Amino acid sequence: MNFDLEQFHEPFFQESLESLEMMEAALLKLTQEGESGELINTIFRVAHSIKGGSATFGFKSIAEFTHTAETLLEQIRSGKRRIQAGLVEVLLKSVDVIRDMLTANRAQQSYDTETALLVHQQLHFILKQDLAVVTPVLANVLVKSSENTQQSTRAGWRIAMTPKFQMGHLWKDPIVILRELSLLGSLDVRVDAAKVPTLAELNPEQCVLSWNLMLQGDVSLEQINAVFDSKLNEYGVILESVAAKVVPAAAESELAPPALLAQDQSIEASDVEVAQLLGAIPLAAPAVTVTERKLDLPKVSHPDSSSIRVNIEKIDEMLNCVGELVIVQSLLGQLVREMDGRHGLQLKNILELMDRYMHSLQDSVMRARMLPIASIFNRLPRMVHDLSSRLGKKVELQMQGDQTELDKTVLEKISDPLVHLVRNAIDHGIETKEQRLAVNKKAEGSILLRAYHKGGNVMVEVSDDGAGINPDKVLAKARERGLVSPDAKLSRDQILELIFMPGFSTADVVSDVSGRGVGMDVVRNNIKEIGGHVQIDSTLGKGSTVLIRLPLTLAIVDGQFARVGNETYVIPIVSIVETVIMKAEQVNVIANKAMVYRLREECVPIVNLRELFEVPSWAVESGNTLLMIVEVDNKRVGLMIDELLTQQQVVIKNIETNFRQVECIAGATMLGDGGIALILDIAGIINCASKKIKKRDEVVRAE
Amino acid sequence: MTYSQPQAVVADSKSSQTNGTQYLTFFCAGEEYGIDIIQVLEIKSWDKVTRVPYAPSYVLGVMNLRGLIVPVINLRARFNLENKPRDNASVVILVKVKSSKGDKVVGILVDAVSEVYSILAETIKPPPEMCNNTETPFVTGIASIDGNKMVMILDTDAVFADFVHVNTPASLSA
Repeated sequence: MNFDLEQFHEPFFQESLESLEMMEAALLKLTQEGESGELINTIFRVAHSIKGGSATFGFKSIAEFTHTAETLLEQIRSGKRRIQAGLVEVLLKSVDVIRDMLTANRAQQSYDTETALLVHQQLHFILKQDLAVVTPVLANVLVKSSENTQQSTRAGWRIAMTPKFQMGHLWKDPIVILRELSLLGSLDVRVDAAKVPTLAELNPEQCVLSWNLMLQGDVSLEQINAVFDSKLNEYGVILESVAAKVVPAAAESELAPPALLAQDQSIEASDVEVAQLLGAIPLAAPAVTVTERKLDLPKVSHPDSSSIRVNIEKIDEMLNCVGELVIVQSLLGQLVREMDGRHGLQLKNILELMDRYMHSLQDSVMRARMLPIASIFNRLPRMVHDLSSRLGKKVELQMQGDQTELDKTVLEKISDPLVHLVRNAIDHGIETKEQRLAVNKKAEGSILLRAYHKGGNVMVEVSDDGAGINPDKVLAKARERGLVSPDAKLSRDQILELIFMPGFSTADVVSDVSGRGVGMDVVRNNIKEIGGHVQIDSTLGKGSTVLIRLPLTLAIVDGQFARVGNETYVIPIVSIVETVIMKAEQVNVIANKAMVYRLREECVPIVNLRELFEVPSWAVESGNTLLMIVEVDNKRVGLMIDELLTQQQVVIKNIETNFRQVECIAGATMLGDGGIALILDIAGIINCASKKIKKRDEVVRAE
Repeated sequence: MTYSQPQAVVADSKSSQTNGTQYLTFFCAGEEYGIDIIQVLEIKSWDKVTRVPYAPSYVLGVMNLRGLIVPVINLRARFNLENKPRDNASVVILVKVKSSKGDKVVGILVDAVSEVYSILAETIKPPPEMCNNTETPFVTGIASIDGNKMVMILDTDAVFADFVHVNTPASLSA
């Protein structure tokens, strides 16, 4: 399957850059607060995921670099290596390098390869050092300044520095000296750690290192003198002017990677502390040059951060606020409508304006919660690939409408059901190659995932061109399991519905039934939970289609208020087809069981809401009874109501939070007067109504 | 507007020195009952509620508590006692009860609130077992106050058992 990875580049960069910031913060915290498993884990995770991501998307250089850093971090994480100041420095530099690489790749520009190479070498160098064993060689280590890799042919100075005073008493720390010297020209630093005593003899204030410096460039004696604050003697400086001489800096740096930690032969294996103490000193030199170098770099233009991540709770808070505002506004509206005169008119105009803005505000907040369904769809190709090759079937996955947007909560909830349905389609739906060829089908089975808008809902279809479902086998299975009585007569649709029954989904539903038994009840429940609906259609030999209807959002609905008896209910406008005045002559009672209404050529079952909801006041109204025709999944019923009230967007509140689920009720909403109205669950009512009829039927039979 | 759970009624400063749990007591059909004050969120005067279909008969409906949908029960009805018209003393005590799906906020309509008592745990006696009236299951213990008054400790878990522990929707058998 052709799959364009490039669409994921931007999210990868975005995410990686964000997590780099986390890594940086954690590293900095590490230096302040010391070692903590949590912080190290965070750092490791970031490196790990960047490595994985960049490898996936073919950013080889990033992957390689991060891999080295990750290896080092892994050693730290597993406790094999202890954290030292120098180590953190290098890791921080690595962060810079990775960031540089990422931004450059994102802008499709080249990054600073020199710095990257240098830091990479530093990482390698640390890795090569086994802290448990003394490294015997590098008593004199080479630190290459990266200031200028072009070998200078100009004259320079050879500087030998052996500070004679105790560290604290010096005017300037040797690091500062090195730093300042490196500003003057290209600086090679050799550290002589030969005089480092054993730990027992070590005087922490005594500087035991000496340096051999090679400063290349057109530097005057005055400049050097100024760096040492004219105290050349105290630093034990021996100056030697050098004529033009080529120093093969690049070649040397390859042979001996930049040193980070001064190691000395005399340090005992366990003297890690000493290594740390000393390590910080020579390390600083390359660190400085690298950072300074970075500052000079023309900044790779940071693409505008066109998206930010916001905690979903914050959006919900906003949404709640907007919901309350809508209520307050409607209160205001009621007052204004009663006002007369000039001010009344003005207020009405202002209120209309406010209404418009309120709607767009509500819309924007809603949209902030919406994400394209692609985020879920894109998880499926891999699964299809794995599963089909495991089962030895050839399956092609097509996806349509993956930009259809859905509420984040809804998206999260349909992820598992969707995976399940696709898996089922491959497992039970699509036949093997041989079977397919035998019935003159293409060898390659196909699964189509489709998302689209329909009447205020989002529909998601999973269809396959497999064997389809054999209703007879399903019915036989259901009878065997006692899910239906042996003599029950069921329509084809009703039989297919059986697949969603909890008892039906057992492991021994054999595949040759192509029964999509496994967990279909779970699928249905998950989707029901978010106010959706699942339906299955199948043609034997041709394939099956599972149709999922999902609400666009869980938070707000356009509602029609209606009076039933002395109670007020809210009907979601999306499901209303029309409302008619109920005429007695159009009502037919079928076999004393169900009332239907003849609406033009159609017969619509009537649901008496008063009866359904057991509304207490049973007084017959003198006014006209209205019949509100509602439709869900192509099923229509007429709801008997007494009066149409206002239309208004309402915030759906969960009634289950403090109470419990109520059949036929989707939720509740606040009214302008502080009261509560219940929102009807139309799909539930259609179900309820048929159940009620059945129930009554049973009662009649029992009598 | 976001609504955070209201703070529990602030305890009397004196009582923090005395060991013992504070109980808010109220009257229902002439008897005095107590609820652990930690559970009590607030006391409200009666406000209209919206009836909910298929709810048990003792559930009066749901009310709007600053954006929360809160069910309110009639304690007399819960105890199968005869109903009494609401008067000025009637109040709704909002309490927090634990459920399998987190804490729930529920309201109890009672005849009147009474006092706050500090009651030592050891002075609370288990309810007598031989009683076969319906109130017993809703009481975790009986405490005597100053040797002359009885306060029954309400078992809120039992009172709200129908919708705190049952996760399945109400059946249509009503």
